[in-house]
Amino acid sequence: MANGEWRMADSTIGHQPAAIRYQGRDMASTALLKHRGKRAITSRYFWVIVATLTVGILLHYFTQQTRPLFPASFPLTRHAIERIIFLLPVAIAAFAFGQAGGRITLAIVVLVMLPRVFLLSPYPADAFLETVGVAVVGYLLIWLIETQAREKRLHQKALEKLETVNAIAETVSQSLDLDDILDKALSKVLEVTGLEARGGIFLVDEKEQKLRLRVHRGLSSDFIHREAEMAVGECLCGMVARSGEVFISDDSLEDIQHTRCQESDPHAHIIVPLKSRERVLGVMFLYLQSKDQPDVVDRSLFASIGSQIGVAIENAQLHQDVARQLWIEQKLNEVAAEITSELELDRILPKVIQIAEELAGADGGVIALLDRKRNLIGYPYLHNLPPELADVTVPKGEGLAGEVMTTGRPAVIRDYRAYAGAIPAFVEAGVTSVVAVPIVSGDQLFGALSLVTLDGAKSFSDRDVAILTGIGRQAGIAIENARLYENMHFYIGQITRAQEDERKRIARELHDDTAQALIDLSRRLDNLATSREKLSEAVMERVEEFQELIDNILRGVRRFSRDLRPSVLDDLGLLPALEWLTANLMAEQGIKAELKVYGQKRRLAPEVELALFRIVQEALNNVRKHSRASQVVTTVEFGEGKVTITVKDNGQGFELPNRTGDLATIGKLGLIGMHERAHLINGILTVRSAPDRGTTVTVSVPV
Amino acid sequence: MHKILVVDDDPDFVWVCRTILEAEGYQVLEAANGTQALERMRQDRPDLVLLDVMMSTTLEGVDVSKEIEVDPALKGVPIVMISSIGTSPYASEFPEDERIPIDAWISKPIQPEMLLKTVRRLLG
Repeated sequence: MANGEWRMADSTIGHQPAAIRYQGRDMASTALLKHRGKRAITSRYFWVIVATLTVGILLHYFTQQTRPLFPASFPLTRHAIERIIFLLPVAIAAFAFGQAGGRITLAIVVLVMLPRVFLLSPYPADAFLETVGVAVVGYLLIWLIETQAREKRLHQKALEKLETVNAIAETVSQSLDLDDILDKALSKVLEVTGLEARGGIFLVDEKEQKLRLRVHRGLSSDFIHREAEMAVGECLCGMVARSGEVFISDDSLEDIQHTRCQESDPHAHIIVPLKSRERVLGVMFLYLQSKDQPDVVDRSLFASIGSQIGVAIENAQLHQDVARQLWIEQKLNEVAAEITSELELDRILPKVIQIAEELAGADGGVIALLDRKRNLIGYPYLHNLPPELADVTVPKGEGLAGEVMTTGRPAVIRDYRAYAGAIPAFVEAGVTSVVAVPIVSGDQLFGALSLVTLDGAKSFSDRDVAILTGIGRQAGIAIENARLYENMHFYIGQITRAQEDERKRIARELHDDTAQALIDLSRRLDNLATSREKLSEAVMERVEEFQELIDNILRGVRRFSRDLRPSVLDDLGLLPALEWLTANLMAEQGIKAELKVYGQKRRLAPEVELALFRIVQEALNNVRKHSRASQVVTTVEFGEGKVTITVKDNGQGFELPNRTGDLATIGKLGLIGMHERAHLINGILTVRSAPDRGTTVTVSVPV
Repeated sequence: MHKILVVDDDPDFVWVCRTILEAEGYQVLEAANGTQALERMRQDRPDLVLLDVMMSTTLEGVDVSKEIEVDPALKGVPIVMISSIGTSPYASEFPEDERIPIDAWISKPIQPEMLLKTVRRLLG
């Protein structure tokens, strides 16, 4: 290990590799030789080598004395045995002490054999050839053993690397949470490499070409704050993020590329790119304890570790992307749900802004709407922005919203203060960055949805813009729906008013003309019956029949007239009309009906009284037809600025649908009519009911 | 407490009158036709009669008013004739040349204030 190397200090325990320890050339070469010499002498192999060499020397130089040891019957000649015995220590030395040990031993063997060649052998040429033969065979043996040993070491080293990489891989594969992965990966790398417990991981922001520190160990808070972010290409880590190669810095203080991250103590670095599919997703920087160590760092091992962590980062980012995509879909569904469940823009649009803010990570938002009549842009819907901005108006085409409405395309302004079309009120409100998208539905443009940051600039991504564009379209649909809804209400109002007028006219005609005509007819018949001309009995009977018939028709006409438009409402107002309704219900159906009035009684506008009367009439009709109630209480409360009427029965109730619109599907058209009537007078109608729990209808109207 | 007899064959109209008058503290008696009205009056003389001019019965408003005038027991009871006859095409049927012994006319649809004002005037 003349050059030192990373190797396992202990055998593998389970599947966890033991700590890799660096055994570098941290000793002077002389001391190293001394150390190795001492170790060799204390080795039992050394003494086996000495013994075999001694045997070889004895056989080589004391031939006469040793000849009896080798009888003729022995299968090998003395020469053969002697050469084998000379090769034996070479093989043992090569095996036990490596190539150097084998070569030294072979040199000793050759030196031991050469005196006989030149001084003792009667056949010096043969003896020389024999010595050369031993040297060649010995060298081959050394080469063979060393080759095998090297292969074994390489194999072992590869195994160790594999185990190290596996340990990292196993650690990072246990989670899909990016911060968790980075934290565990850094801990594991520091643990298995046995490096100084200092380091960190930057993640690369490819769009902004920035590195951002995500996890760290053993770093000062000043360092963490100072180096939280750096540009790709900057300093050593930025350089590695660009090159994608493992970088080893011998001495941080001397390295001219080490422009940042300076610390007072000199230190060596290993900087590892965290790559997946050739993309550098992050950079891991680790501190070495000695400046000598970097020479021997196994770059390929750290490159593999970097790849493992890189793949884990990519997986986690993909997982994050999928989770975010699901979250975005969920939020978009929320927008769609808001739009489909509500038709009031004042409720929908603030919610749309809030959801868009969440999706884009913005601080506030605003919806600008175009007033086509006045050619002005207003900002009626705001979130997290000063409410006085709602009073701001700008001419059509001005401001960012105006630009977006003109071009019909989204716009992103990173520095709003530097934007030529900036509206001073928004600058004063602290707006720094803005993304704006048009609010459109079909070919109709209604306004613009803008999201803003209030604390520092933000780069809204293409994905943010794409999502917001979708939300802008949803908002456009909401506005169109709401306008259609408003139009529908306007027409419903017109129709209802026309219907009431018509009812009133018909009721009056029935009462004043038809009923009077019937009365007149009845009176004439009466005159006929009481005239001086004596009528036959048969004629008298027919006259009486006709009178009875006319009475029945008269009652029917009056009832019909009353149902169309009770004169009591027009004559006396709402409260007497409600008393009349409850009295009728009690008289006709035997249901205990009660009217309670609280607060200061007063007359209301005729259209309000009419709508409230119709709502209560319909509610009591429902009680009569469907509730099976024995009791119903109608309460009228005259409050401050509003009137609330409640009709509560103790009947069988019913299962309410989730949405008002679904009332039609379960045949509760009367309830829809009540909602419409309430809406026409700016009132709110609520229905509470459950099977066997009775029904309560409440209408509240501002007055 | 003044007693007022309301005579009309339209029960809704009677209910409206009752509501208006009772709210002002009057006692209200009811009759659905002329015959019933005279019977009640003879049993319990009212302080005032509200009389519908046209009823589908044998004895209608004008006849009742004449009966009241000639009956010594009822003579002097103020009569308020109520009718929508002014707006009716059958107004021609009303005997314009006859002297009708009544104290006041009120038209339908009834105006509560007008009714109360007339009643207060006649009852002093």
